[in-house]
Amino acid sequence: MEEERKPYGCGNIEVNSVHIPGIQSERIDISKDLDNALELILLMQKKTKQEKPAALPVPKPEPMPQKSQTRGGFLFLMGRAAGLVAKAFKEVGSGR
Amino acid sequence: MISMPDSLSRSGDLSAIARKYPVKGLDVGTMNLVSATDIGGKELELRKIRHVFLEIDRNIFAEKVFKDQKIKYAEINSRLFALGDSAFDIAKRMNTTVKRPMKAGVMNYSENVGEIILSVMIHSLIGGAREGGEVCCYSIPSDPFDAKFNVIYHKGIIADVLSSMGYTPLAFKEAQAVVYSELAPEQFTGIGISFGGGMINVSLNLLGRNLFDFASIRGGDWIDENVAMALDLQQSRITDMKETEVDLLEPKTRVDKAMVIYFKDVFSYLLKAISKRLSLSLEKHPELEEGVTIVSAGGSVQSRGFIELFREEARHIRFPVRINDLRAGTDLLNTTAKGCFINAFTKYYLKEKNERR
Ligand SMILES: Nc1ncnc2c1ncn2[C@@H]1O[C@H](COP(=O)(O)OP(=O)(O)OP(=O)(O)O)[C@@H](O)[C@H]1O
Ligand SMILES: [Mg+2]
Repeated sequence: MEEERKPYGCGNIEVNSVHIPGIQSERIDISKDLDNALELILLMQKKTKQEKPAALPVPKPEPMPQKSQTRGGFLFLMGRAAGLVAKAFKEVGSGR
Repeated sequence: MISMPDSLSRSGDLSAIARKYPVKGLDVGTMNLVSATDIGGKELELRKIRHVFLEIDRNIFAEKVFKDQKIKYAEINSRLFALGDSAFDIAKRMNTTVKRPMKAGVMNYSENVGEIILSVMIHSLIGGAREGGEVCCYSIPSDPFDAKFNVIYHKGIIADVLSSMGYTPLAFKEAQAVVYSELAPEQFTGIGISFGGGMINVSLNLLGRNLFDFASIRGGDWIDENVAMALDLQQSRITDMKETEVDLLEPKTRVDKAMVIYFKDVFSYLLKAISKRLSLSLEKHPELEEGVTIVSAGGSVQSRGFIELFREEARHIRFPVRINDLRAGTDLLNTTAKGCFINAFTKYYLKEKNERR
């Protein structure tokens, strides 16, 4: 286990707490952006009909790394560290 | 399986889909992190945090003081780090400078806590995935043509951070996000440029397809650094002045004048690179002869006189096609996050449709 942590370059990472109140936030009407998306969808559809159907990137949902036994080294630690972040958020509150 | 209407006519239909099929956009910038999340299919929530941190000496600031003063911070390995605007405020008070998880558009590898701080900040903006495998489309820079590094490692790190929060990460080039956000009236045909702190990103699109993209390291930081060197002043002071008082339109002070010199040089350098690549694209895509629009977004465009100076420099460059319009984007700091959101939404709508066939 110890060895796996080395690639991360900062030893044992533990997120003890996170406190991020008052994040700058604004809400905007989404309809213009969705209209733009519609334009784009129609364009893409036209294109794909003209050409052979394009292979769209279809990323598969990744398993949560905390549960993954197969990930080693760096990836494992990122997952673990991020898991700790999530936990710290739950405990302390993110200001959301 | 989410049911999609076969023909879409109004944004109302899309709102219904957006509600059923949530996605998020995330701009991972050197200076700012910005997220775009749809709320109930009608509104987009944009959240923003300055992408900086500062380690705090516990002997000087007690954690209790932090909590009382609504300071943004994280405790990592029992070390205290002020985050975002709080890091800036404290740095000013302590007469020091903030640190950054990123440099020149990618992870700053000399900051060993950078990656964990980046995860903490991203989590503060978007939280965990709303449902397993929710798509989060994040911005990446293009490979710079004037530096040796590439963005592969950076892209991998962000993807790992997002998947560990339960997301399906989808990388998207920052400049193409500018096109998706701003060039709908031109049928997504034209050049999007993002003038960021770490990099300048450029992409030419034809009907929403990327024909070329590249980046340059001569972004805002590069300009600040060079002006500071030329005038023998502190870089952070120069950045401060640039963001508050510099006037590129009517330069009066030494700093104004130095800024104009460097901005003009960067514009000319960039536009020559664009012109060269446009020529190559034109050979394969004669449709481009109708001309292209150039749209610029990113923090630097906020400088007074930026677009006027950019237009002026463009007049001196020979382009292989007509430049129909050269304009600033509408929402300079949110453009990339919005473009990422639009990309995620579009890709997944099309994916659903393809699967239903
Ligand atoms: N009001 C302002 N006037 C002029 N320049 C500004 C202003 N506000 C910010 N900037 C500059 O904009 C740049 C940051 O822009 P932006 O937030 O788009 O970058 P980023 O997306 O974080 O970086 P990158 O895309 O390069 O990773 C910095 O150089 C900053 O100094
Ligand atoms: Mg940017």
